[in-house]
Amino acid sequence: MPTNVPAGRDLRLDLFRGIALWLIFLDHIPFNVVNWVTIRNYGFSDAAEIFVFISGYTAAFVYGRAMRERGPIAAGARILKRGWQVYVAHVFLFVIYLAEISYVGAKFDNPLFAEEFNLFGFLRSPDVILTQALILKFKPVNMDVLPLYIVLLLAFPPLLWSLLRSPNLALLGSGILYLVARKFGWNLPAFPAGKWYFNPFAWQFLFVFGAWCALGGAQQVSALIKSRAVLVLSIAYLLFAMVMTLAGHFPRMHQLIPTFIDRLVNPVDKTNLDPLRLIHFAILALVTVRFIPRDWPYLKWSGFRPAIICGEHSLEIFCLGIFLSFAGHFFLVEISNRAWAQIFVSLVGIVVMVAVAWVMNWYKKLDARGPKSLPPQPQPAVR
Amino acid sequence: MTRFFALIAGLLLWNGAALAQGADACAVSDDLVSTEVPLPHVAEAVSQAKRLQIAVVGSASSTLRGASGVQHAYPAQLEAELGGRLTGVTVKVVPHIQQGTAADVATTFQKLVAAEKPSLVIWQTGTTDVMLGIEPDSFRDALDKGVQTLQQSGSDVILMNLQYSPRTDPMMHVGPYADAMRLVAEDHNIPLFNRMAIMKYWNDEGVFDFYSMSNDGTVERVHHCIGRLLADLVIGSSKAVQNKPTQ
Repeated sequence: MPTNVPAGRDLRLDLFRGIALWLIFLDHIPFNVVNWVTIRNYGFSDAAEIFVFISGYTAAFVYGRAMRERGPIAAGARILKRGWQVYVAHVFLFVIYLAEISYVGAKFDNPLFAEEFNLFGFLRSPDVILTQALILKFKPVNMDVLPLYIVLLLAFPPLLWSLLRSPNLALLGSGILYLVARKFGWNLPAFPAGKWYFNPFAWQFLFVFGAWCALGGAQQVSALIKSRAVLVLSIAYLLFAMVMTLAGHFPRMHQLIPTFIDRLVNPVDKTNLDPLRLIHFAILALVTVRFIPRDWPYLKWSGFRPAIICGEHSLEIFCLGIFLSFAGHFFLVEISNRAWAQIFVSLVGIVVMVAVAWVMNWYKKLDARGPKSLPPQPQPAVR
Repeated sequence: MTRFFALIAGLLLWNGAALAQGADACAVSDDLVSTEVPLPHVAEAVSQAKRLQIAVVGSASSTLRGASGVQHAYPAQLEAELGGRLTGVTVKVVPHIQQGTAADVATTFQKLVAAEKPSLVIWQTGTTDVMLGIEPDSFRDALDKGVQTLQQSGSDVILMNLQYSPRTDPMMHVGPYADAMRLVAEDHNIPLFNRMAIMKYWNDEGVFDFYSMSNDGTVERVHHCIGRLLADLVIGSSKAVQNKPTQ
C-alpha cells in the first residue's frame, strides 16, 4: 500500500495481509470446498479483521512519519489522495460487477427462483442504481470492504493527528465511539434499505487499534504478549471459538452445545464488529506476535515470498481478488461446479494474484532505476 | 489440521451412509429434518378432531407460475401427501402468497387466524427481507412478534427459511437472516424447516441442478420433494408430543 517503503519494513505485515487477501478471495467464491481452509470456519473473526487491522497499522506507519516530517496538511493531502484512489478502484470494480450481473440477469429464467430473480430488478433503473453506487449507498455483496476503507481514510487525517499527540487518548475515544455506536445502532444508511454491512463507526476501532499498535502501542502491551497466563487463556478462548464456529456448520455438533452458551454467543454480529470477533482477532494477533517475532528468520524464506509480494500491493491485489472471485463464480456456474473445478478455480486465482503482484514489483524496480538507465535527454533548445 | 481432515472424512462417511439408506430422490440426511420439537395443536387435530387445517404464508417461492402452478407447488403437494398418510383425517392446506417483509406479513396474521383457525401455520419468509437489506435485528424482531401472535391465537408454527439459490446467493448476505430464523425457532420451541440446507444437500449430492438457467423439468419435482419432507416434519413432530406426554 505505501509507495515509499522503508528498509526496515516489518515483513510480517505484508505476509499476513497477503494471506488475508487470498482468504478474502476464497471466501468470496460461494460454495467452494477450498473455503474450508479459511480461518472464518475456525473462529469468530475472519480475514476482514486482518485486512482492516493491518491497513490501519501501515497507514499510521507510513503517514505518521509523513505527518511528523512534513506536517499535517501535506500528510493529510496524501491520505485523501489515497482515499480517492480507493474510490476509483471501487467504482471500477462496480462496473465489472454490473457487467457480470447484467449478463446473468438477461439469461436467467428458472421459475424455481422467480422471486430471487427480482434481485436483477435494479438493472431496470440504472439512473437510480448508478447514482446510489457512486455515493456509496448501494454496495453489492462482497464489495463492502472498500467503501469502509474509503470512509476510514477520509476520517484518518485528524485521527492520525490526535494519535500522534496522544495515542492512548485517541484509542480511548475510538473505543468509546465503538461502544456508543453499538449501543445506539449508529451506522450509515444503505440502498435500497438497511445499513452498511461493515459499520464504519464500529470497524473504525480496529483500524485505529492497528494504527495505535504501529505508533508504539505494541510496546505498551509487550508484557501481555510475553505472559504465560495470557497465552493459556488465549489458547482456551481460541479453542472455544473454534468449537462454537464449527458447531454452526454441523447440526449434530450444535446439539451438544448447552443452550445458554449458544444464546450467549450467537449470533456473532459482523456488521457491528461483535466484541467476540474483536477479542478473537486481538488474541490471534497476540499469539502470532508471540511466536513470530519481527526478526523471525523464516520470514525471508522463499516459500513466503508469494504472500509477501501480494501484501505489498494490497489495494491492487484486493481489487483483483474481488474480480477473480466474480470470474471464479462465473466459471463454477457456467462450466462446472464439481469439486475439481472449485479447487482449480481457487488455485488459478491465487496464482494470478501472485503473478500480478510479481509484475507490479517488476514495474516498480523498472521505475526505480528508470531515469538512470535512459539515454540523456536532449536539452530544450529554448530556455 | 489433522482434526480438520478427520472431521471432513467423518462428514463424507456420514453423507455416504445417508445416501446408501434409500434410493428415494427426496431423501436427505436425518439431521436436516429433525422432528424433536412437538406440534401439540396438530397432534390434537389429527387424533381428536380428525380435521387438519394448515395455512402456508409465504412469498413467491411458495408457489409456481403458470396455469397449473398452484397445483404443483409445495403447499398442494403437502396437502396430498398428508391426506394420503393420515387416513381418516380431512387435510386442508391453504396457501397465502403475499409480497412483503416479515414485518408486513406479520400484520396480517390476526385476521388470517381468526378467519381460518388453522392448527398449523407454515411461515415461509426471509427472501424479501434479504433482498431489501432490512436489518437482521429488525427482521428478527418481526419474526418474534409474528410467531408470538400465531402462538397466542392457538396455532402451531413452522418457520421455513430461504431457498438455496446458487446463482443469486452471491448477491445476498443470507447468513444473518438464516441465523435469525434459527434463533427465533429455538426461542419459541417451534420447528424450522431448513429449506436452504435441504436444497443445498440435494445440490451437493447431485439430486437436482439448481444452476440451470431455465426450467429443465426439475421445478415440479423440487416442490414435490419439499411437500413430502414437510409432511415428514408435520407427522413426525406431531408424534413427538404423543411419545412424550409428560413433557
